[in-house]
Amino acid sequence: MDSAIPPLPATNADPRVDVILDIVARETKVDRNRLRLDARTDDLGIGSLDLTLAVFEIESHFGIELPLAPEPPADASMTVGMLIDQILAVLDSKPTERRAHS
Amino acid sequence: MTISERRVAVTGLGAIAALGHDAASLWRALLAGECGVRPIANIPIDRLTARTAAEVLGFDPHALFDARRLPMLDRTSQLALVAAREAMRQAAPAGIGALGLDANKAGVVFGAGLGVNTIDTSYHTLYGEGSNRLHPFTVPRIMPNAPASHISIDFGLRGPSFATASACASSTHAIGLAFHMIRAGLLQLAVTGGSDASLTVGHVRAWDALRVLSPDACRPFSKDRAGLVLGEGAAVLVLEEWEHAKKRGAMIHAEIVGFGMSADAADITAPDEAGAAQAISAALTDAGLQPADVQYVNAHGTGTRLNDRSETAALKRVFGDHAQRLAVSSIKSMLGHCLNAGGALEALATVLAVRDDVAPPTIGYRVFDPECDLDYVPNTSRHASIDAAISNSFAFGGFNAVLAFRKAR
Repeated sequence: MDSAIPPLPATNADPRVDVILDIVARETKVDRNRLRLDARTDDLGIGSLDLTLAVFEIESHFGIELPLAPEPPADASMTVGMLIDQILAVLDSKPTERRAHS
Repeated sequence: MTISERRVAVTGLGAIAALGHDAASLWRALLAGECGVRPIANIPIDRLTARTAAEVLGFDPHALFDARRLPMLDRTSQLALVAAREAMRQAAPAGIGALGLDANKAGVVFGAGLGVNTIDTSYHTLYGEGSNRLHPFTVPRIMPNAPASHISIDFGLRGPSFATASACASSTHAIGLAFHMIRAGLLQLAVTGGSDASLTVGHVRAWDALRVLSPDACRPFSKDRAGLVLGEGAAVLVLEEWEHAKKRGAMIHAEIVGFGMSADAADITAPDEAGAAQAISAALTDAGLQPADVQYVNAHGTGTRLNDRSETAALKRVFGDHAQRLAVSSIKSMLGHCLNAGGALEALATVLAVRDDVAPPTIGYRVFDPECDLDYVPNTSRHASIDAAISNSFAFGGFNAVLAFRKAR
């Protein structure tokens, strides 16, 4: 299954990733250090409701709306990196003045 | 064991309402004739006409629920869990696993309890503030089976479980069905009752619009009664198959012996004497009680002109001359009308009346009404031998439900 994990996003230096990971850690009560980009949410014990709540808080923080439910593709588990990719994609498509809303 | 041989015990009680955060405090306050109806404190009143209600005050959910669980719990479920935890501490102090039950025969039958606070808050966010930011748990918080589900989850009850919806008779129907399911062998133990927390601006305003709210107090059966007062709360009864309860040495508060239902099939809100009488008769028949066997009636007694007159007439129709010897009281005078929880709070009071040989009063009673000419235990509770009692619920929609209880022996 390792081959199904997408490459790590090239955003390690992006400060927004830290913000996202902080929110995920806070909302799911998972140790922040375990939130590696290739970690699967299933393996971290993050249930779908916890993930939904984390996405809600991330949306609130950035003033965005993620277009889809945080569902993994049918043949793979959701990873932390996939979640971050989705969020960054939405953030990058938004005008910057809409960001500060929390 | 046949259905008619199987008996059902009340082995746990729990409650929270305006006059207490547990069943014992509530019962003491009811017997003291205290009034839980006060100026509304929990919500803004500037847009309300009726400004009194029987609110639960001093309730701190953060002290009672895990921070991770709380976002999932509307106040309706919070109150339900408080009452259920108390009742289960009593019925199963070492946990449900220690009772030696068939795990598939312990369930929850509970009055439907909408998450009205969540509905109100969500609509305010959506329409009032123009925001699309609804909390992701809005749906599971609102769903009317949420209180039943949270109780089932809390105690690991895996048997038949569901919620009953019949407006102000919801929790009476729940208790009655739980009783019948135990008698039928479908359950061995049921956590049953109801919960209501709908004192929001939107909901109180809706009751205002119906013009049935009293401006100050609830005065059931008194000629100067002016309508009902809304309340909130929850009550839970643990029902258990009698022999099982006896065998394990459980404390039995009373025996539940009868349940009767009927539908008026007439008006959607106005009460109907014939429908009410039919449900009372059905409960007595189900219990194997003669009218003269009953000493106490916990009335629906809403304090509206129509209900109290119609309920009095129904009691006279069923009990005949014996009606004049009944003690009849309405605790809605003290706890307000707790809607989906009303029947459960009143069933709990009826159980305790039978257990303790004391009838709680109807407070606020001031003026004799020739159309309400029974003994309503006015203003002061009364000790009297109570071997059997009934609890009436006559709901909007014309759905009637009556429970009968008897002293444990």
